[in-house]
Formats: sequence, C-alpha cells, structure tokens
Amino acid sequence: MEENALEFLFAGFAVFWAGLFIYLVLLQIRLRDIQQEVATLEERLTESENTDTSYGEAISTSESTADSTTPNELSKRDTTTNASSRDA
Amino acid sequence: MSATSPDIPEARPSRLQALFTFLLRAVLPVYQRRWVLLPALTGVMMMAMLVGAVLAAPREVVEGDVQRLMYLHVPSATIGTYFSFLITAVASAIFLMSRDIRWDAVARAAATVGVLFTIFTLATGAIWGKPIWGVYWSWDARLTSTLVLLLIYTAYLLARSVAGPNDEQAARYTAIFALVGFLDIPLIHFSVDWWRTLHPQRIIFNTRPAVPNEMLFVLLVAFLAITFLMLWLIALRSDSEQLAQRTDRMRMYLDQRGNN
Repeated sequence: MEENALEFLFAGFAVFWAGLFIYLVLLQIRLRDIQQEVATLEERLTESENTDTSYGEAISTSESTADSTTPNELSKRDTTTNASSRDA
Repeated sequence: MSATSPDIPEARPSRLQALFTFLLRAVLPVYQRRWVLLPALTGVMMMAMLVGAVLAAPREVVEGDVQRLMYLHVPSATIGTYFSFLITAVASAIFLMSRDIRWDAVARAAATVGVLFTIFTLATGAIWGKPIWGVYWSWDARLTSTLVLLLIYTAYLLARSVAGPNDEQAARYTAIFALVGFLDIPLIHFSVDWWRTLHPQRIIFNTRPAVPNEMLFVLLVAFLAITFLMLWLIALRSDSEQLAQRTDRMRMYLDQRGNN
C-alpha cells in the first residue's frame, strides 16, 4: 500500500468536480438550443398568424364586394328573365 | 312531500388518500420553490462536505488520506446512483400506467443523472482502489455489476434519444427496459454478500456501522449534499426535457398548419 497517496485524493475530487462542471456546461448548451428553438417557433407562429389575418381580410373584403354586387345582379337577372319569358 | 333530497353523508377519505393529501400539501410548497431552495442547499452542503471530507474528518490509520474519497464514493453510489435509477423506475412505471409523456421526461432526466453518478462512483472507486489494491480495476462482482448498470442505462438513454421526445411507443419500450434494468441494483448491493469480492463488505449500511462517529457525521453531511445535488440536477434536466417535448409538439402543430 502506498503511503499517504494525496495525489489520488486530489485526482478523485478533481474527477468529481470536473465531471460535474462538464455536465452543467452540456446542460446549459442544451437549454440554449431549446431557447433558440422556442424563439424560432415564436417567429413562425407570428408569421403564421399574420398570414391568417391577411387571408381573413382578403376573404372578408371579397365577401363584402360580392354582397354589394349580388343584389343588383340578381335584380338585373330577374328583370331579363321576366322580359324573356313575356316575349316568349 | 318535501322536494329536498335527503342528506347524503360525505365519503370519508381513506387513510391512504389522507396520507397522500398530507404529503402533497407538505411537498408542493417546497417543490414550487425548488429553483430557490435546491441550488442554495446544494451549494452550502457541497461546501460543507468538501471541508468535512478534507479537513474535519479524522485520518484513517490504515489507508491514510486517500480514504477521504469515501465521502464522495459512497454517497455517489448509494444516493446518486441507486436513488436516481429508483426515480427512473418509478417514473417509468407511472408513465406506463398513466401514458402521460411528462413522466417519460422525468425518467430520462433521472437516468441521465444516474449515469453521471455511476461514472463518478466507478471513477472514484478506481482511483481509491489503485493505492489500496494496487490496481485500478478488477473484474469482481461489485465492480462488474456496477459497470453493467452503467451500460444498461447508457443503452436506455441512447435508445430513447433516437426517437423524438413525444414518441410514445419508444417511451413505452424504454420504460419497460428501465424497469428491467433496475433489477441490477439489488444484485450490486448484495454482491459483496453473495460472492467473494475484492470490494470490501458493507460497513455503513449495517445495524452497527464500523466507522467512528466523527466519520459518520461527515458522511451524513455528504449524503445530504449528494441528495440535494441529485435532486437539483434531475429537476434541471426534467424541466429542460419537458420544455423540449412542448417545443416539439408546437413544431409539429405549425408544420401541420403550414401543410394545410
């Protein structure tokens, strides 16, 4: 048996603390990756919501235009149909 | 005739339910303050352990200063390794029963920390063994079964990391694997009794521990330090894994929405 063996004691504690430090650094890197992922997803979500809003606006505009023209067209169509049926 | 229904007596909670409610009320406030309590307690106890192990504990007559590695090696093996894998097994069992994928994240987190502490146990044991036994490694029952445990849970983590964080089928298979792997721990613990080994017999977990009270006190501090460290690391990892699961679900949702 080697006397004292202080270097082994130091090596044992060094392995423990170094391992713990490396693990915490790796965990920090993983957390940073997840944070970046969250930021990317937030951007995508915002873009998606904006697209949905512009799409919704376009739909509502076209619907309102259709609503404003439809009664006139219908009345014109009705008049034409009635006239042609009378002629017949 | 009265329209009111007769009074139905309230069902009294069973003793188990009452105990569960009591434990929940006791643990929940502590759990909610985990990010304040755990780092602080871990830091204080780790410093106390370091001072106790290097300065306060008496020098062992036969082995000398290298015996102070006991204050890292024994808590890493018993608390860090055994309890981390116990949490993995319990979380895996709860996942299999409830199919709540968050328990899979807890199991993986505990397994990661368990693997870390198994590496610490093997490394500090090897360094302690060199001046005492003359070799870093011996293929005896205790050391070999601990190495097998490390390989089992490394394989578990590798298998689980191949699939996505929300893959329920992979989580189910690996949960069964984790439960089977836990059977190695009683084998490790009793290996020194069942086989003739180079590793010494159990001297702490006996009815009459074979170490003086000064050493036992420092060892108790070390046990507390490693317990808080283990819980803190598992909490950190578990939260990050659950966050990864949520971001993965969010990404899938956005992909589906983009395709539609």
